[in-house]
Amino acid sequence: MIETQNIHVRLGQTEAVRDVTLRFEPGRLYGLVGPNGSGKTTFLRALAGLVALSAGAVRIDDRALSSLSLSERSARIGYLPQARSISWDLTVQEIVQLGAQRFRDAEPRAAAALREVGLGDVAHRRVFSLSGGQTARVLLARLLATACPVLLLDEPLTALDPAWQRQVLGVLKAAAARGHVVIASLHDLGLAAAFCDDLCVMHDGYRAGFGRPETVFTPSLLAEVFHLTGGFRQTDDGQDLYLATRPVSSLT
Amino acid sequence: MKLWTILALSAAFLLILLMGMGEVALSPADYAEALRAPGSLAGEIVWQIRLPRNLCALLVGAMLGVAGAVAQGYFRNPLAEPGLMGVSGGAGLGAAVAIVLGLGLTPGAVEGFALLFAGGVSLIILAFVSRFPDRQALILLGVGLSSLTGALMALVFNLSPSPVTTAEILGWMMGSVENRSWTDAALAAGGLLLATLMLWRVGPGLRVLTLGEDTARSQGVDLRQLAALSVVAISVLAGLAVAVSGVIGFVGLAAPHLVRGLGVRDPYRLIAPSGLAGGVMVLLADGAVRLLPTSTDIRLGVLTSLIGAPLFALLAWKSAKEWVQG
Repeated sequence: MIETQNIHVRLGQTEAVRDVTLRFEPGRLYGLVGPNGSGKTTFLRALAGLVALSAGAVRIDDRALSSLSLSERSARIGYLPQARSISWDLTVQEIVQLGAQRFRDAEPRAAAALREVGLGDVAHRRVFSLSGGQTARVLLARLLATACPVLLLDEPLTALDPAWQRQVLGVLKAAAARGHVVIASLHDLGLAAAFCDDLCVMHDGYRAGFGRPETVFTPSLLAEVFHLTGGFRQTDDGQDLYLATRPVSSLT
Repeated sequence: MKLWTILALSAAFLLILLMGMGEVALSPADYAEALRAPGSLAGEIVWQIRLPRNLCALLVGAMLGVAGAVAQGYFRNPLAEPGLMGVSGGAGLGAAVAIVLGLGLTPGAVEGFALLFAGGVSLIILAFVSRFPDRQALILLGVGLSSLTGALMALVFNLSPSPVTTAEILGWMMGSVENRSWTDAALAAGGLLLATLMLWRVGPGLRVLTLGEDTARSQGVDLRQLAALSVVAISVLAGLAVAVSGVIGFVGLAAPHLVRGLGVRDPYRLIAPSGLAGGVMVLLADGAVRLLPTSTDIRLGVLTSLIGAPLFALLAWKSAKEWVQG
């Protein structure tokens, strides 16, 4: 379990996160959504302990994050940053093994993580020879290989084709089902609504909504935060709900 | 055969080969005499002239190779080299000051001044890093310090009391391992040992840094410690290398690239073979300097720069192509 208690984060003159209190439970996939600049990345970095809080506290399993050593943190929280920078042309296996380096059996763990993202057959390729989408999946495998109880992902679907966006969300859902807390910032509201157990909506650094997708994505929130109109519709077979939206401006 | 075995054997082979090269031709009997009686003329040539010179070439090359690998790993930039932070410039300035003060012939004075000035520059860098552990800011500081030491060096030339002194500074700046003593070799070996101990802690962090600073921190890397130890290790190595041999350019840049070209990309696993590759390169260059049929001796630093500069341009060309395509 990881929670924030009235956290504030100031970046220069801007207060990027304002008074956010949230609690994330194991076994659930959380989608962090919000417009550009709403504070999603800063909030995730605060959860990971990568940015200093100007007020409030982050607690993990009832211990203050600030009281944990770097190695204790790294065993509890795994983080996939938005920037997909890789400086050197290591092999795919070497990159993924970086995630599992605290384990004695790093190699089989890395191989298992690679299979999970569908890249078991490219383990010995150089990472610079892969496509952007494959590279994104390699970095996701690195995160999975950390086996941390809390997994934080900043825009993990960037550079992925629509099929792989769904596959990756499936992988994250499976990780949540294994007992991890999984929190991913996402831009596709439809996918977020379809796959996530709960959503956290950020707006101007504030928490604008939190809970199950059907309860969070109200017409007024969609209009106010995302400038979208629409709502949940039933699929043709009547089995599921899906989110249908379009920009407010197109109506006028 | 493993890469480092090949490099170590090459270094050992060159070390032995170069023991047979010098102004005085020695016969096998002379070598036997040198082994039996180190105080004999042949013994003096082997133990006091050739071996310290060759060891210095190997150790200076190793220091530059290791420093280059750490610099490239820490700055995450294939064009980084040990002189980037201005420590080499500081060491050069110190040596020039010692020569201007008339201490050129005092044993250990040039090396001591070079180390003192390199230490001063390192302290400035370390104070900066402890406040701002940011590699971009560090590169900017390095550019500033290099310019400053360059300007001060120009001032030393400007105020130099005689053309002889100027020529002496210039000669020293061009880099050489000729007439080096066991003290120089011990200095180099000590620096290499000290840096190795520091890099033992830094290495795994450099590897994770491949994926960026946020990922490294999230995986438990203490970036402040990584920055401080990397900077101190590079400073010790680059400063000592200049103190022992003067300025030997491009080895620190080229050695890690040579090893990368042989298949090692992991910045941690790159460090030791880069040291061996650097040693091999300087031994080769020092051998070439002795073989080149010129009326005036070509200095070691001049030769490494002559070979290294086109290599640097080629690397820049390749990188620019990747950036444009990327």
